[in-house]
Amino acid sequence: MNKVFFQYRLIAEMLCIGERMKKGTFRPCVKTIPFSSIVGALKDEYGFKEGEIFAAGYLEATQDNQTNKIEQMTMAPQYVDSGVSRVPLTVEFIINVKAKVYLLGEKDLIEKRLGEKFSITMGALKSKGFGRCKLSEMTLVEDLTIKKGELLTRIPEEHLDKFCIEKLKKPVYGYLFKPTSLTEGVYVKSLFERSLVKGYNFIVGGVE
Amino acid sequence: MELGVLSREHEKMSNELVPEIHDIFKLLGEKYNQYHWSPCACRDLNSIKDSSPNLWKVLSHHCTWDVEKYKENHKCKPYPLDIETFVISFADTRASMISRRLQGIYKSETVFKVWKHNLDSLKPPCKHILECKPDELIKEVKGCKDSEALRLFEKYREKEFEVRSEDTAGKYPFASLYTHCILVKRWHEFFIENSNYFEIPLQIETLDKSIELKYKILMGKPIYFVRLKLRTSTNLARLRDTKVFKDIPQIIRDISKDVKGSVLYSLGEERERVFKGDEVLLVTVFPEQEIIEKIKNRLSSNYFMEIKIAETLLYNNHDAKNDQESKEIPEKKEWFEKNFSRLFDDFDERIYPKLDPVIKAADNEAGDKAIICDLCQKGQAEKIYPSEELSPETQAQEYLCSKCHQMRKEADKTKSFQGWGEDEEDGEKRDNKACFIMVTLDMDKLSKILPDLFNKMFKEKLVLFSDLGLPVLNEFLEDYKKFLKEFRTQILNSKEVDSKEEILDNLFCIKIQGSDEVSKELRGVVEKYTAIFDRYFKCEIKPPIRLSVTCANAKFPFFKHWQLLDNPKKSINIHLINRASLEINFSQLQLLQKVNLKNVSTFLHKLVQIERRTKSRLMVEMTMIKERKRLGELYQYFMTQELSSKDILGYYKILGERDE
Repeated sequence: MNKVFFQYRLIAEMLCIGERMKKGTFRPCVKTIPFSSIVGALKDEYGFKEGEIFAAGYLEATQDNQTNKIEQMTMAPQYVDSGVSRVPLTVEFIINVKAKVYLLGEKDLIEKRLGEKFSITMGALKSKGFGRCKLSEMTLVEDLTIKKGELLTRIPEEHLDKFCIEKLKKPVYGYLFKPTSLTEGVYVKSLFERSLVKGYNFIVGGVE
Repeated sequence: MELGVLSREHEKMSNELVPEIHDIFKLLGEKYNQYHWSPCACRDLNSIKDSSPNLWKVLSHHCTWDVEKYKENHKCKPYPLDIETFVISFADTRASMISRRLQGIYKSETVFKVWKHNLDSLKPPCKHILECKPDELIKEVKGCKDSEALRLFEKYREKEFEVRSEDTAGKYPFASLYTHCILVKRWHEFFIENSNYFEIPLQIETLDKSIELKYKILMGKPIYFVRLKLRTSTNLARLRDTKVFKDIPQIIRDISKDVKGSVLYSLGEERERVFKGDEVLLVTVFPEQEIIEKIKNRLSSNYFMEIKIAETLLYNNHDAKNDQESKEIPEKKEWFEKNFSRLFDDFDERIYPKLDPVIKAADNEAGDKAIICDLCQKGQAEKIYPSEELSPETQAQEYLCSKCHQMRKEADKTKSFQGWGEDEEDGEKRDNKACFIMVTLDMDKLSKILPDLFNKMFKEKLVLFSDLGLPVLNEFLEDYKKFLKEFRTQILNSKEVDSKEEILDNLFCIKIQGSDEVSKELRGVVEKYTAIFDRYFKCEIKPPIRLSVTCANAKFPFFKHWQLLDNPKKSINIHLINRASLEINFSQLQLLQKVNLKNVSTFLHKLVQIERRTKSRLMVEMTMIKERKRLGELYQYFMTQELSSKDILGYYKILGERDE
């Protein structure tokens, strides 16, 4: 069975995919849609199995300063067991989110299980109402030309081939979480946004 | 032929040799040029041959090639020639190729600095007169022992070497003689270190053999220029994490040693980080892949490196023995210069240390809490910091990889900072503040601004950054370092030993006793900074040097300070953490210092609220129109958009409260 790419438009009121940063009262957020977040959400909500779906995305660039706007919120988290308040935490998040995500999988499977439009919950602070995303405007990606430029998202090295990404001499490395069971996981070496690559034109931007 | 393998004896000799001093007779001026070309021309100096043999070798380096030219005037007999003299003469020509740039734009015997001088009012003196008498200098050189040569160079460094242009005629006034001398020193190190590769014998018998060897090196021995920038993406959590920057010079030295290279330029302070990304240009004989492998082995998970490598032969068109030769090898005419200029394009490659493809949880207590290192985010969390026996229960623990844990343990402890929390005065508790002050220079922006300054001043000649090369940048950096040192000294000298901490050369911290003193202290810092800045950088386009100041309770965590310090947006950035912020340019500061801010506090708060809630400047303007008489100049600056209500309020809260 042939795997195909579908493009969806992602819209969310508030999204907080946190950068992994410990020991801080300030938590910056990721300004893209990493592979690990979207694939995790799809697996959780639609029961995709390992290897059935691959996805990544990025925030749309707009002139409008209200779209994909970065905001901050200070909150007072508590220890779950004792109810004692911890140090107040300032969290960065994005409002009026408009993004494009690309899903790779078997055509029938995606069409049947996800369809034209669907919803997922992604990122942090879900209990506070963050991360509810609507995906719509499903389009089959036909233009699979390869171009050189800066990667627009975060993809684990082991899945670069799915997006036909070839690393060039200027990578930006980091690690993404990969669950191995319901309670455990590992971190895998990944290529981050702004890495210079060759790859499918929809996931690669211009060179600055 | 015995090759130049450096024996211990030679190594010792090389240590005593001071290549920097090779051009000291340039200080005598054109009248005494013959002494510069050959000290043999001065009978008085002949005694140095025996008393200070290394100094003689350095001073007589021109005789290597010009023995025929001057044989009529003096009895110069340099042959058989030793390896050191040959190498210095060779190093001198390579250094000149780099330091002699922009010929024909301006002529001056003193260094012309576009950030300090201009063609009208601030013209540097075109003639440079030696401060002491020539006879005195000659006498001083005559009496100089080998071991005193460096001291002699240092004695004349500031007033002569740093002020004079590289060539006596003043055709290249944009680089100093000092810059050239340091370049010769570095090239000399490189050729001696790699004398085996270049097949330089310990002794060369005749001039013909010398010339033969020279061309063998120029045409047959490729070298590699490596321009590199060591970067870190680590977010500093504690004050001791600044060791990430403190370690950079040592890493560069280690890399340079691994590739048997010499650092031609280190665009940073010798000891510590001065500005974002220490940029280094080194020269080596190792090919590209070997260089990259060796760099990878030296990097830890806290660093990555941007790099550009240019392979070249040392030959350049100046080296042609005669026209006939340059006709024979036309395609090789610009090897050195062309390849050297290529270095200043964008970096080609980004190198990371060897990173694990998968990081699993460690099989220990740290592994139960975390998988990946809290600090570098690129290694396995296998250690707890601080360890349980050392830390009280209340202290937050971090889970670090072994490299980051080691770095934390090895980092210097602060001298007095720990005790700044609270004082008691007259039985009352006083809440002390810690004020971090950091000055940064944006190198990328500087490389764009410098050509602009040149082009504005010398309109008829279009200058690109690659035309300027590193010497001009180096001159700027020498001034920047002096500026930074003066500023740091002035601030720190005004404080008692237990009220200051020197963290990095460009980052220091002072204690402010009690909240009442904050505005006064910060005003002092800004006044000192602007006064010193104006003395060093008189140009209209201000260089991208930024002052960041953060102030909070002494117990406030450092990482919040760091987030603000490391992200300066304008020339002057002051943050009273969680209270007020001021981010302005010099011109805005001048305007704010002029205006009267008496009795406007409530009104300014109101304006900021209007702007924040309506997100409309129009609403703020409407409100201001009503109060325009009371506001005076403030109203005018706001309307012409030179200042925003946030700037005014920030200034008022941080620096201007004395008027109330």
